[in-house]
Amino acid sequence: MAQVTLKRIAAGDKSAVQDCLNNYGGLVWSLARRMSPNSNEAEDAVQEIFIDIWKNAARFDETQSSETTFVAMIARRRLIDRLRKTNRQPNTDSLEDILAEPSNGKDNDLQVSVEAKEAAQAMKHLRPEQRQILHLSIVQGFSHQEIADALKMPLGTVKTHARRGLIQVREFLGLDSDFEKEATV
Amino acid sequence: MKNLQKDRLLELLADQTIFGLSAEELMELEKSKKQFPEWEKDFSLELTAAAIGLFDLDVSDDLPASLRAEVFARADEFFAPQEELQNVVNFTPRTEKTIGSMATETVGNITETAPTRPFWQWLGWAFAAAACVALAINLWTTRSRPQTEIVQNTPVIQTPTPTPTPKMSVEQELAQLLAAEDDTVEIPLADPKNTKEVLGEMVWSNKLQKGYARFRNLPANDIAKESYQLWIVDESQNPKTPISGGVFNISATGEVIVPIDPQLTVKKPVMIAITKEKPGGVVVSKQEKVVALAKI
Repeated sequence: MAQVTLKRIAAGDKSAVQDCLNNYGGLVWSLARRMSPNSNEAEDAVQEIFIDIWKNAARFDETQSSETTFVAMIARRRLIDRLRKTNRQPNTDSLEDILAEPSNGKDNDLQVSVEAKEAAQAMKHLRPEQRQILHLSIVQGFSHQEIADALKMPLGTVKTHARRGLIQVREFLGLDSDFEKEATV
Repeated sequence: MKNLQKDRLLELLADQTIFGLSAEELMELEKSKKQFPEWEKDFSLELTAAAIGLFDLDVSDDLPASLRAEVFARADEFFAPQEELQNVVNFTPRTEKTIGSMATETVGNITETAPTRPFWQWLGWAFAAAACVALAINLWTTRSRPQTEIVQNTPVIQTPTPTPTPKMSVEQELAQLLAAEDDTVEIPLADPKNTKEVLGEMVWSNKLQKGYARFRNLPANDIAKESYQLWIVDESQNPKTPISGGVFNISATGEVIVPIDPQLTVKKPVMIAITKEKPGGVVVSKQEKVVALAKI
């Protein structure tokens, strides 16, 4: 996928909106449906997300991520913000159902961006509880309290597993900042 | 020591990315970021979470046609001011360099605080001045005439008393503020003890130095014993002495909108707090009873 859509948007090129919708419409729509309580909310969210994408297009840094992951980040921010504002949960299966069924994840090659493939790969290297908690929180959208209750784990342990897992995946993706690497040397 | 502080900052950023933070943690995060300003623009944890969030995502369904059309309509509104700007500014043939610099300026205007746009601003003021002149002429011609003349000229109107200009309701003012300024922010006001308990929203435009707090679940206060007071924590002020944004009472349940009326110029607001104080409010709050917080 060409990595130029956001640059064109940032340059005020309205014709890039068509490409933006062609390239990322499906992605944004899928995320919105996954993380919204119903389809009306998802539709409203999609409109807000695209405006956020246009507003933030100039912040895209191709050395840090692909456009797809950047767009997913903007979408996720907005969707979480909407959920927290209304104090509602996304429309997911119950946590018990999810825990009962093993993840039938796609082959890594079918993931939608380079980072998504690498993140899926990195998740395999995490401890099982870290992987499970990250999946439940980030992919399924459950709160730390819900996860703690379901896994019968102290709240602090859930948070520790989640943050360590996330930081490890970030390192695997090579996203830890240069100044951070310098500081730890 | 520095490494310990940095580790804590990383923990807070990770928690924020995955689960969100409580009001206290948010304040701690803001403090930590001041010590490590290089983290202010670091999205690495958010990008990581976004990449994980793409796991198993089925993107085969495209946007529904009606929704696509609505997004396009929004694009028309969003890009219109930029197109007008380009039409006004570009008298000379564009080179790649000039297009690039214009683009940077335009994007900067959207995402950051507004840079200088001398000609455009001048044009805006010219239109505003013309509108004021037209309004003044209109007021003079309508209000300076004898009342009987107005009645004669407007036989359809049954009552001879002139209709006063309707004052906008606070709801209308709030809606206008939300629509008017590109720097308007809307942030949830949460219970500091339970950040999931959203008590309302705070809307603020720094450009206009104007805002509103909209409450849905704030309990009524006993006006004989206490008042609510709104505080704006400004980056330029000592956090212990925030700017008072006004004193108010809640007498009824349901939605209540309170205008924010800062006593000083707000330079860069970082947080809004609602406290309970003695009736009529105080000059400096001990911040003993913080009932709602909004981090900007």
